[in-house]
Amino acid sequence: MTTIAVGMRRAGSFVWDLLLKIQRLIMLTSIVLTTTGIIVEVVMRYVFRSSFIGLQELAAYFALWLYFSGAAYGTYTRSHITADLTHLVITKPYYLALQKFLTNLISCCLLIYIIPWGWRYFEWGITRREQSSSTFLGSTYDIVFFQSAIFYGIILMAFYCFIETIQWLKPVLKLQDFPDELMSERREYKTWI
Amino acid sequence: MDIAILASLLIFTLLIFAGVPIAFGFLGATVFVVVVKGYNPDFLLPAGFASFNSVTLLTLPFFIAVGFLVTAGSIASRLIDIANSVFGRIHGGLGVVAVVVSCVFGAISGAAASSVIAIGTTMIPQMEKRGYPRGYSAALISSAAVLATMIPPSLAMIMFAFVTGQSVAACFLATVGPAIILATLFSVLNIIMVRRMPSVRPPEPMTLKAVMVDVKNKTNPAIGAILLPVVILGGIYGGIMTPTEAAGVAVFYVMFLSLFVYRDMKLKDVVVALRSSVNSTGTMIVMTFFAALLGRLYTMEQVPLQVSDSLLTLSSNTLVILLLINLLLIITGMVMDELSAILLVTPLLFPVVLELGVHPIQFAAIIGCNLGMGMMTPPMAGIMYIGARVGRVTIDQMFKTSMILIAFGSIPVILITTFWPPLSLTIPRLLGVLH
Repeated sequence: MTTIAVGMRRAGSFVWDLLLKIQRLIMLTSIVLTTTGIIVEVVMRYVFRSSFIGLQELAAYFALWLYFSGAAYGTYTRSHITADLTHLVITKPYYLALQKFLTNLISCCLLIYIIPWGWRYFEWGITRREQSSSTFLGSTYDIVFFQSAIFYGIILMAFYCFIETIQWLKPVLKLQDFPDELMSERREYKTWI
Repeated sequence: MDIAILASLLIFTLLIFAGVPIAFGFLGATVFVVVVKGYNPDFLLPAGFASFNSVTLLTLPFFIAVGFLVTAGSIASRLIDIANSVFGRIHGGLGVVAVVVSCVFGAISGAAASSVIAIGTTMIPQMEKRGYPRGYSAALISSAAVLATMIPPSLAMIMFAFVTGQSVAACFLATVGPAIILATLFSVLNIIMVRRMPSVRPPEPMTLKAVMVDVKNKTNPAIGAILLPVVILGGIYGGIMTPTEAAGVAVFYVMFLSLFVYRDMKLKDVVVALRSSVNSTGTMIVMTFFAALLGRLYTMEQVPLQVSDSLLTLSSNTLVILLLINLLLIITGMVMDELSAILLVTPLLFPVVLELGVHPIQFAAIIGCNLGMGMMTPPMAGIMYIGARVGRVTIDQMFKTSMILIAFGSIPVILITTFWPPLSLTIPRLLGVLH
């Protein structure tokens, strides 16, 4: 392998790991913020006999990041729910690889198809500066940050589906057995992020 | 029905059976309808966003987080110890323990998969030591895990309430009556089956005093775990908290218990469990999101109305229609998981059952029972596959026991729930969440 190829491989690996770390950080932050928002409301009501009006609604907006970052990460970990019945009829490894390649390709194409939908919604959010339906600390707030979670989720799901499709393409083109690790969910490592 | 709508349903079915994730199957059908019918898709994502920034929907990630935290810590094994000290003294008692703990676990997490993993990992080796065949234990624990989806808080009922706009608290209680009958039937069937197994040794006899001492010793270290369902259910039905608040408090309570009281988890374990729960929530919600987009298009095409008319023209007899609905739900539950099934069939069948005069909360119970049974029935019996993996057995080793539990447990409960409304409506009315 040439020096340039090694360098590119290292850079790719660095970007891949960085992306995962950012995703994990978003996932953790979103669940902590949403849970805390709800708890604070309960504590305010029973301990301080007061209320942060609109805090729960704010937590519900933050949950959009929880949902779509989780969905994107689920595409990375291959943990999306399936109702696959093909294993009952397909037993040869090559055909299994072909089936995986095709299903990933279909998923990838569908997600790429809706990227413009996500972009237009994001763009609309930026230009229109839509306000929240409830107030927090006395005023409404811009919700484009929460709207952008959908675009973020679609982009990353499409990206991971694309990578997965490429990974399955190799055994399909070379008529070779595929690595077993591609068949199972990715392991969740015990790391902070 | 419109040919394009039928084609979209066919596309959805083909995609998911071919192995495309169910979420993207819904997306495929959505894209097809948009393209063929010439809709401008720009209204879809804003509509999805408007429905999904819901405080009610937040209940789902919180209860999933509780399930992950409980499974990662020692709460499940503490609960098993107590149930064992109470029921373990009877012949076949360990099977009853599995059923009872599934109910208690259901009152904590509401997810069947967590229940199988948490209970199966601890109980299958114990049951094997006592002479229970591994296949039998795995089948019983997997079947009993369905109870976790019927005892409140139930993820399936949260989804049903979200889709139909019913009260979460009322939907939670709809399946309690059927769950109690199902748990009793499973326990009785277990005792009958175990007494025909020569390999299962009866437990050593103990005096009542010794049993009481044992129960007391096992209860003390598990007080915190026992209080968890009390915090959740007492909070909701005591009028202290909304279901979302109770779920949020439960997340903090379990973290506090595991980190500072039981000290069975480190902060890093908590972080990993929370992250896994977000992953799991995301995959469920994105499926719901795309299903909601498809549902919106179907509503615009008046599909629920057409399905309702078609079903009602088949027969004018309510009994026949309800049996057909049950059959459809069981078949749907056999081929997809309960949440996807709720997303697919609820919007289509809801107008039909309302037309028949079935109460929406009773319909919640009918859906819960049918889809619960679907989870135990091949080919897609997801919960059985998890049970087989945990018990390290094959599906055919579990098959006979599962079929007996379905035939003499699940099917009778489904029929009673369908044709006797008080079973699902009395408890919500008694607790004042249904008028």
